Amino acid sequence: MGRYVLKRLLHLIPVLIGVMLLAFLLNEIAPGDPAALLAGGESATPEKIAQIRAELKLDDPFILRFGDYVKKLVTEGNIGVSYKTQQPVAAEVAHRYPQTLKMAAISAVLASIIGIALGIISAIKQYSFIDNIISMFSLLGVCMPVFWSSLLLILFFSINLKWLPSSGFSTWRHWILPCAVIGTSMAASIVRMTRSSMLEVIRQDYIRTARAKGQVERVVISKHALKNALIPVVTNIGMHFGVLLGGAVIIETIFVIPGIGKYITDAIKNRDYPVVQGSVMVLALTNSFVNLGVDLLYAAIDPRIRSQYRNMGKMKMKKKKAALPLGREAV
Amino acid sequence: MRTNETTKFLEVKNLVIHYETDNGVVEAVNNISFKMNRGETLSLVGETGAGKTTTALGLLNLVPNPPGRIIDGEILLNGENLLKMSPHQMQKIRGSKITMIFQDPMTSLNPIETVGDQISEVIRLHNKVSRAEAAQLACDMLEKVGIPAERYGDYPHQFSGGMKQRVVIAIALACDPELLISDEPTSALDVTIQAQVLDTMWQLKKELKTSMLMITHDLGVVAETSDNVAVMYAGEIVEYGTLRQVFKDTKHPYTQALFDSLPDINKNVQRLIPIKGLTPDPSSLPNYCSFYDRCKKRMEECKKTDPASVDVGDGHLVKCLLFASERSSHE
Ligand SMILES: Nc1ncnc2c1ncn2[C@@H]1O[C@H](COP(=O)(O)OP(=O)(O)OP(=O)(O)O)[C@@H](O)[C@H]1O
Ligand SMILES: [Mg+2]
Repeated sequence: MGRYVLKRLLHLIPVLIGVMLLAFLLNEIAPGDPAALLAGGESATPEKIAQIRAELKLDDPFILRFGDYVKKLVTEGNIGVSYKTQQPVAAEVAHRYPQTLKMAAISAVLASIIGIALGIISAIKQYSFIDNIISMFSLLGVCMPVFWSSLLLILFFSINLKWLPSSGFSTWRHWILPCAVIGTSMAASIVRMTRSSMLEVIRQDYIRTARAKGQVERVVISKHALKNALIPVVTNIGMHFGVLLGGAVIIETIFVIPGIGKYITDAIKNRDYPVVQGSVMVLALTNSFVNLGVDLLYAAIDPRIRSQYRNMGKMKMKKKKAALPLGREAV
Repeated sequence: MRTNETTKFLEVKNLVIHYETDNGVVEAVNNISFKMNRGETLSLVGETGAGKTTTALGLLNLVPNPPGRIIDGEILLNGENLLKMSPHQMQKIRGSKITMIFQDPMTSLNPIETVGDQISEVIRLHNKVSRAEAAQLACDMLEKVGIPAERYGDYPHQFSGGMKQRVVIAIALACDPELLISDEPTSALDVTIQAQVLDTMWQLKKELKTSMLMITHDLGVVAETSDNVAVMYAGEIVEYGTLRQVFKDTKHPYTQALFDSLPDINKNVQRLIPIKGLTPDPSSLPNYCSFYDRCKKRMEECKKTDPASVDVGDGHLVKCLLFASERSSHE
């Protein structure tokens, strides 16, 4: 198991290099000139632009700039310096990322709890009135675009009822609306996932076996059915969390929350490429860790996955032993 | 026929079970009645779809609902009607007094629980023992079915089909049941291990003096093990009697056809005679004898009525017009 985690961590290196290269390339081919924007847009003189280009080393060949970037990243841990503010991206990310993470984490936790609970109820009361209600709302939740539901909620709770602030992030009350928006759309998808997974599992023979043992229905559902049904749901939640971090852009823009999503969109507008570059790397890294977490959780629930991981380790050992001339005694 | 004899061990009266699906009502079990003495082995034989599994699930009140429903009938265990029991009372019976070995061992164990835990679960449900004692008993049970106790902590995917079925047998026999239902426990297994698994089950059954309802396709196994035999066709018991009565004094044309379709080493028959035609669709059974369409001895009258079960002597029951005149109706 430890071996597996180590392997996964090593896998992060090529992934990050790939992400880095892609982000760099995208910035390269994106239209617009950062120097022109920095020099003052339309009114800038060509001399001024040329000067800024030279300062930012924008005229160097691609490979040189990329090499420089990687060097700084490896030796100084520097993920970039903003063209616009000349401040290190890492500092700004460290300042902003917690807002995004906080929003995503609160939403994800609430959505998981509510989504799984409603999904179970919906499944064990299949076709009942309550199931119909839950199914209807979850379908609605999945279909509603977040920008639309955000506007609806702001209209209702901030403008009409004046209960909650419509933007900002200073008190917990500011977090309610954005988290509600993200949470409902995520919960809706978790409900649907849990329901169908649960319905699938309840029909399995081993559930009948559990009942045939004389197990009480509550335990049949919570111990035998739910644990099995959660396997695909956990994967789904993990995937959602990644999408959530990237997709925080919309919510942060609507609710004016200075998170990483807002940071990236602003940077794109300003052609502030190092910022995009650095932030995307941070997001990729987080996503990789979330995925690793999900896979480990997956293994914690499902012994079949566990032994697969273990076998991966063993196969390596076997290969190594086989490479030795007297490696035959390997079991 | 209401003599005050001692209460029978098991008495099934006029059991009717339907599956109410979107495509109509499947009449899986139609008005069957049978009795069992303590310690007796009763075989239930019949083609696929005859309603054998449904009957067995009915005894445990585990017919999947929806779509299944026990429409009518009584199931008396030691004189107590199981169908009138509360869910709680029924849970006490399942796994301790009546247990079942299911058709497909591949799917009847929970994939994410250790086999040991799955055995000790049933022990803990029906005995006042500590967790450790239950684990010890489960280990004993594993040894009894021929699996080393060290494998307590292994998961189902680490076992072969035959070993999984041994685990299922261990679960079924862990609480020393009064009635063991075995539903074609080896039909999903390799021919080579079928005999071993059956043998294990049989040894334990004898040791514990358990009564057994054995569902099987294999008339050879029936001949070796049963006291009484019930032949099922389209949800009805068409012939019932002692092993000798049914095998040596076969009356019903369907039973006869079953024997003719099997290889018999004693008689040097050149060709086997398959039963022509298909089993009738249980969602649209005729209102006359359901074997009529395939029967070699059918008569004009057979299409007019649904025959009643008739005692042709010493409790040998046959549901066929050919024998209607021999004795008075059974019911
Ligand atoms: N869940 C269900 N929904 C609808 N119909 C069902 C269901 N389970 C069984 N049936 C139908 O009920 C009838 C009896 O099925 P059952 O499983 O009892 O047969 P069986 O005698 O055990 O057959 P086999 O030898 O194949 O196991 C069949 O026609 C089958 O299609
Ligand atoms: Mg069956």
